[in-house]
Amino acid sequence: MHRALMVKCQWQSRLGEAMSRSLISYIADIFALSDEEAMVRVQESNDSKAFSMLHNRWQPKIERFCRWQLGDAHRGEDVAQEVFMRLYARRRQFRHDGQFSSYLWRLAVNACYDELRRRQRKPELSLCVADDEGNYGEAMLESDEPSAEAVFVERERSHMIKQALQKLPEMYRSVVLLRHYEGLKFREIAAVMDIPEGTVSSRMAEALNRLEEMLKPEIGS
Amino acid sequence: MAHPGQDEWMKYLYGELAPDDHERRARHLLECEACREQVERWRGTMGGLEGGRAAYMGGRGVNPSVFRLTRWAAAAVLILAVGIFAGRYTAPGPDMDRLYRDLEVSLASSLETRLTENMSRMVQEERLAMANIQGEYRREIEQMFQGALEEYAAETYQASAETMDKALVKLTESLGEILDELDRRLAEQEKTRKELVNFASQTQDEIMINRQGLEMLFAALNRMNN
Repeated sequence: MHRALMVKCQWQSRLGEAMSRSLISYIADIFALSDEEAMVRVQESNDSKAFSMLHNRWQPKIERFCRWQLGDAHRGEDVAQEVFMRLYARRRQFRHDGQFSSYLWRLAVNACYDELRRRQRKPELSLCVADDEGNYGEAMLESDEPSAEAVFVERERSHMIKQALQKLPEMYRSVVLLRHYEGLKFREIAAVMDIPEGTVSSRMAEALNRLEEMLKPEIGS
Repeated sequence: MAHPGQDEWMKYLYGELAPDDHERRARHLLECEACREQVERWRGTMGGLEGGRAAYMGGRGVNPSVFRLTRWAAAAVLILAVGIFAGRYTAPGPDMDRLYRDLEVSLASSLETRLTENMSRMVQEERLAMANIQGEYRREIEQMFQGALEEYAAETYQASAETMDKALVKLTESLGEILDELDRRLAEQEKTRKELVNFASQTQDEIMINRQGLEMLFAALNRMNN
């Protein structure tokens, strides 16, 4: 954890340095560069501005995927940073004729699998533990938000869904997160996971079958 | 009735099928109760998952006390930003006209090339899409036409085959009648032949008898003359 924090600080300072350059050209580049073009720049000239652009564009998606795939907000954050470290470290492996999104998602899925396997070998307490009310660190909302009861119901619902997803085997969970929440097509997920498209959609069906049992009270309401 | 597999239903539920295939699956659901029930169960589960979307898409989960601290930090940053802006506005400002000119030149040069390329790419994609659509229509029309031709050929062949069969039946019947007639005539011929043979034998016998009678008469006459 200490190492992860150190590395995170290092990366944040590098990104901050990159972002402190001309705002105008930065905005122009956001509209100008596609992901693949930016990655080529990173490959060929170690362009930190291009890498920063990719990081800003993709970091929220990768982080939320890692959080839900691992079921742990803090580890998810660390693994998401790990993903971008691997992206930069392995920048030469990116093929110009490939799709950047598939490449990045593949790094994220594999990083999460590695973390889950590591956890199985060395079980450790999750830092993301429930409080006395069974909440996994969800933000407390102020009284001027929708009624407290509605908030409570919403929180319970999302908690039940998170728990149900955590009970799925990781290969089913990743398909559900990528298809249902991230909106990737089945053929895109097949490219990410390097399996046939039919296998992806079959895993989705099996995941829904298992989730149906676990979410019966939720579906009924 | 053939039922689509689970993987095909997933593509149906997530809207990844081509319009024709989607239509076929929808029709199948109207006809097949078992598939309809299963699809409805899956839809229910997908709806259940939607309850987690806000939490999935939402911000990072934070400890309540950290959240309150973050709000104080945000308030402090806001006050600092207001102070900085106030200081900047009261200080002699930069040459805005020059800034705008520089901004315009920079943006124009950066965006012009990219916009042109994007437009070209979009036009190319539209052309490809149109070509694909045209190709699909052509194939559809060819299939429809081919289907109609095959149907016509099948009907024509069927009609021809029936006509041939009828003609063959008639021909067979005619041949049968001819053969019967031939048999009858052969039988008659045989009968006539036999009658002729009998008549010939009888005639020959009578001629022999007459001849013998004549010889005896001639002999008698000769004796009388002598």
